[in-house]
Amino acid sequence: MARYSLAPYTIRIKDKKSDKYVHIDNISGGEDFLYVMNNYLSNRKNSVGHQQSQKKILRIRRFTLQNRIFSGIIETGEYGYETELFDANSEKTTYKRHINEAEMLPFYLLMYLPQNADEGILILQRFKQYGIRTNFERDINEYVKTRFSSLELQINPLVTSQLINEYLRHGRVLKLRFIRFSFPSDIANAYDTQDHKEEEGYTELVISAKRRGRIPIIGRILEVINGKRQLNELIEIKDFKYEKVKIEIDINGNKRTIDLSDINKIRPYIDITQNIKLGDNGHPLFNSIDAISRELLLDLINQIARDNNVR
Amino acid sequence: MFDKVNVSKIIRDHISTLKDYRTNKYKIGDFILFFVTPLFFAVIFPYFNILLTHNLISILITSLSIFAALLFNLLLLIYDIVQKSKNENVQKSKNENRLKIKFLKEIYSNISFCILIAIWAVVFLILISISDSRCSTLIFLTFNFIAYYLMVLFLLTLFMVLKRIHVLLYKEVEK
Repeated sequence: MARYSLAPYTIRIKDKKSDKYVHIDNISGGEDFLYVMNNYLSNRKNSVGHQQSQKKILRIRRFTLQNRIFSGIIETGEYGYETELFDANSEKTTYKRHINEAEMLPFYLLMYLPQNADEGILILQRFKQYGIRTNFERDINEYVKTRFSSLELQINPLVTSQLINEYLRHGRVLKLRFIRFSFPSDIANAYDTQDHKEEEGYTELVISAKRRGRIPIIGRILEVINGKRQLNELIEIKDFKYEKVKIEIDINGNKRTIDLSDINKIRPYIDITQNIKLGDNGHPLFNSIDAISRELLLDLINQIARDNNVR
Repeated sequence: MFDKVNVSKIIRDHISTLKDYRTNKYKIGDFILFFVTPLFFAVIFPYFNILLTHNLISILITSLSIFAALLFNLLLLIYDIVQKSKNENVQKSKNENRLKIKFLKEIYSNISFCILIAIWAVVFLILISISDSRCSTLIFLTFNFIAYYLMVLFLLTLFMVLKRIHVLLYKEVEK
């Protein structure tokens, strides 16, 4: 059975000139990004986004805007290879898809762009192992660049303490491993060698979580994962500058290692397969997935507020 | 009014290359080497009355002028490498590209600084040449002090440029 999930992300806009994130409702000269996004989505409703180098197509089937929240359906597809469409009932090939034809799959999207904040929330539907974050980000950025050459939209996985708590509730942190790379101090030597070898940090920290207890480092881990704290500021170790931290976690007897310098491996997807209603076309009914996503959005807003208060 | 001859950016850019690559923080050792060591020689030589003679001044002015000209050529060479790097169709990792660009920028700043020091050194050597009989001993000694300081600073920076150019061109030849 196909699995459907929701993937939450943060959405931020960076000014490359000042290297700072701008407020969503004032991205450049008082302009609200809400209207830029509205224009982009309207644009995409009338004309497809065609990424020729990736051989991908993107279009908006529908969207609405209410109270600074967009919700809608994006369709994306890939072309560049032939396939045969096979009827499972008649057991015959009914159509041969040509090399320049793309199979368009619908994905739900929910985007909240608050005022007086530099961070919005984006929830994208995933279908089995397929997602649309990369395509969507690339397409929006192409549009944003045409109007604001110094701005860049960034979409990053949103990891809240709830996700980390999920790991820790069912497991415990066995080890924190600090790893130092032997980079030279002179850039000329670094350019000369352009490689490095890992050497294990000689300091080991073991932090154990009690059931229903709190681990003091969780806030800092979260800050590192969400990009608000540098990795080498996780814990200060005198005379040892580390570049990588790996956390070894025991979850129900299974050991799992999370590399804090590679957060893309943490996948905060929420499986909604059992909760949604499917239409006759086999895809989720819009109202069904919309309701679940809006609940998740509210939950995320509260979680983020809680995480910010904890810090 | 002095905007067009304002060279403070060259000095700032060069100083920013004296950071530890790992930590991106300034290294005290580098400042001692490049700015305190010349001070030592600039004090010692005049103190022991080892002053610059007319002959020596002539030789130094000629040498510094030749070096400055060669360094100007080096700037163009670096520019050429930058252009080639931009046009290259080689699949490199983002980190490699970032490192090369940073490295090229730093070399460029170092060479510009070297040329600047050479020019100033030439100016002070000329001042010494015309000042010995016309000015007080204090002014004469001060010019000597400054000239020695600039020449040692020039020499040290030149070594730094030499090392970096060697690494850069060696890697280019290796490709």
